[in-house]
Amino acid sequence: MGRYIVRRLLAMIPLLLGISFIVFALLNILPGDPVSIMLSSNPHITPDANTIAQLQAQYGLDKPLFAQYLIFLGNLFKGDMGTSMYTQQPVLTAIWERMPATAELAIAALIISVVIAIPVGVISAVRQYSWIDHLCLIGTLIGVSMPSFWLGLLLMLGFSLKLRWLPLSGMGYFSNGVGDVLRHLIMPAFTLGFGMAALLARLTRSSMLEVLGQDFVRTARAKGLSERAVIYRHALRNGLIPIFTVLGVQFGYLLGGSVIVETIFSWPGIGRLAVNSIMNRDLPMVQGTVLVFTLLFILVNLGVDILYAAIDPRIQYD
Amino acid sequence: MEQLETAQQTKLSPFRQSRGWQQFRRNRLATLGLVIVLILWGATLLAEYVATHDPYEMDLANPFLPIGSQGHLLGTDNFGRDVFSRIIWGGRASLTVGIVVVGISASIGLILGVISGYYGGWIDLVIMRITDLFFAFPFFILAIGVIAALGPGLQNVMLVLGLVTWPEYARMVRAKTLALREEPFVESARAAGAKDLRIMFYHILPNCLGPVIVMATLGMANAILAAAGLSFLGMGVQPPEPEWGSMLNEARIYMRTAPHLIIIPGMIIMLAVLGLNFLGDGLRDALDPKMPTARQ
Repeated sequence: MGRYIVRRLLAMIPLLLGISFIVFALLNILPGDPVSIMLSSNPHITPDANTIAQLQAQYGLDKPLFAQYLIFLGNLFKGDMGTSMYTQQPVLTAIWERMPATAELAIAALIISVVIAIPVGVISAVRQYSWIDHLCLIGTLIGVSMPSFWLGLLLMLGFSLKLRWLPLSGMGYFSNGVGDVLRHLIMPAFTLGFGMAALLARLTRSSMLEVLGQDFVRTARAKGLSERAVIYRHALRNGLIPIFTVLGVQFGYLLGGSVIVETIFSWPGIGRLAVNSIMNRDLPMVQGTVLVFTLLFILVNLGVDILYAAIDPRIQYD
Repeated sequence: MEQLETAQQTKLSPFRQSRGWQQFRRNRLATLGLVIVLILWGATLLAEYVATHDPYEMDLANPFLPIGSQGHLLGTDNFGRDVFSRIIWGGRASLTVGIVVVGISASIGLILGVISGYYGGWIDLVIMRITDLFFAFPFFILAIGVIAALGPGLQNVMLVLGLVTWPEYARMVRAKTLALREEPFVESARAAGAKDLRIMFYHILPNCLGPVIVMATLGMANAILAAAGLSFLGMGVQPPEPEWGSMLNEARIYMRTAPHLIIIPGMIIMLAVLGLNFLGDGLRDALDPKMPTARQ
């Protein structure tokens, strides 16, 4: 087990190098000089050759490209992702400040989606081809097809503007009580979790169908266990393992979705920071947010893989 | 009666007798999906004739008209533009995105996948490491990162989504190629002196077509959804050009006064994506023999 973890960690090194190179290349090799883009977006500065050269030197843009990458990489190791071209704040500090908001939203969305998806998937597998299965199938396809930004706006329309039950946007704080946090959290978390719930429900259904057809389930039934015990104690436990492995991949959808959901609900997280910095053409900040999102995604997947290996004794560590 | 039916069936063309077509027809959801797709895209392609107004024409005296008023089927927006006509014309952007994105990603994925699977060795290793790298990014995040560098616009959105989604095709085609490479018909083609290129493109790729069609249909749905999301964030189609996602974005501030401006474009996006998802799901049942079929 220990060797497996070490090997997985070592395998991450080339992956991280590749990712850092792509993110670096993204904003440095492509046409357009970041300094003039930044200056053109700020009407208060009239760019002259001198300021441009000075700024280029400040950001290291006058050096050869590969040297720039090495500097970028070296700074990354020191935890330095540069400073925002817009607010002059260090990129990492800005992202770090917004991390709790994004984590709160993502975890809540994950919980909501699992709570919806597992019962739906289990019921439709147990009652395969019944009307309830068909209803769930249509429901999950609608869930997958529904744009999250539309769902979010509809919820706002219904629960905030018409019924006035929930605050329109923003994040609640624990200093105002748990109720404040939950009332702000429920709509964005549901918006973000809904599409994922649909995907997970479909996976749960097919995974359960596979397990229910296996010999040990027949044995459990044959020895006279109640149907409840067969499904929940024997089948579900094994059916959940493949679902667990895809949770990591699904987390990527969650991160992507958080960009949209945070923007709609004015949620002060990294997703909204990414959108705002794209609008402000704040390239170091864009670079930082893409990098942090990708790192989170990779770490979660690594964690899922390791846990998976720990849970399922059939997995070989090589 | 049964005999009569079989007699009729023998008259049908080989295509309509085929197992796939029979499977597909039996799936009512897939048929519904096909109907939705045909209606929406038919209306979009014939936008000149279907739209009742010029999608850009403003009528500042009549903003926010409700659904079904004064000859405006779906009302008017904040500039008094006809919502129905903007929806119909806006479909062109989504249709184009769907086709171009799938075109780009499927071509790259198919070519790299078949090369990777056919030659194996270090070529396979390099190509697969590249696909791993792409899978390491959350897809939408990478897309907005590239848009940030390239700048907003429909062309860039299509390019980005195409370049970000090909690894799925590559992996699938590679796996298929690995299996097909050992098949007798490939061996015999090689024995007959066929060149590598001919084997890859005439013998192997056509046999991957089923899953590729399914993947392309579902991929088109995802591309439309992602492009609408990017336009909603202001990174795709720019106003005043009509597009479903950017119509929603424009309507956000008027949510209180004119909720129909939010409800309609979103519903259309969902219908377009849902139609493709129904269709793709049914096609998978019909074309992929490994999947459990008979969902009657």
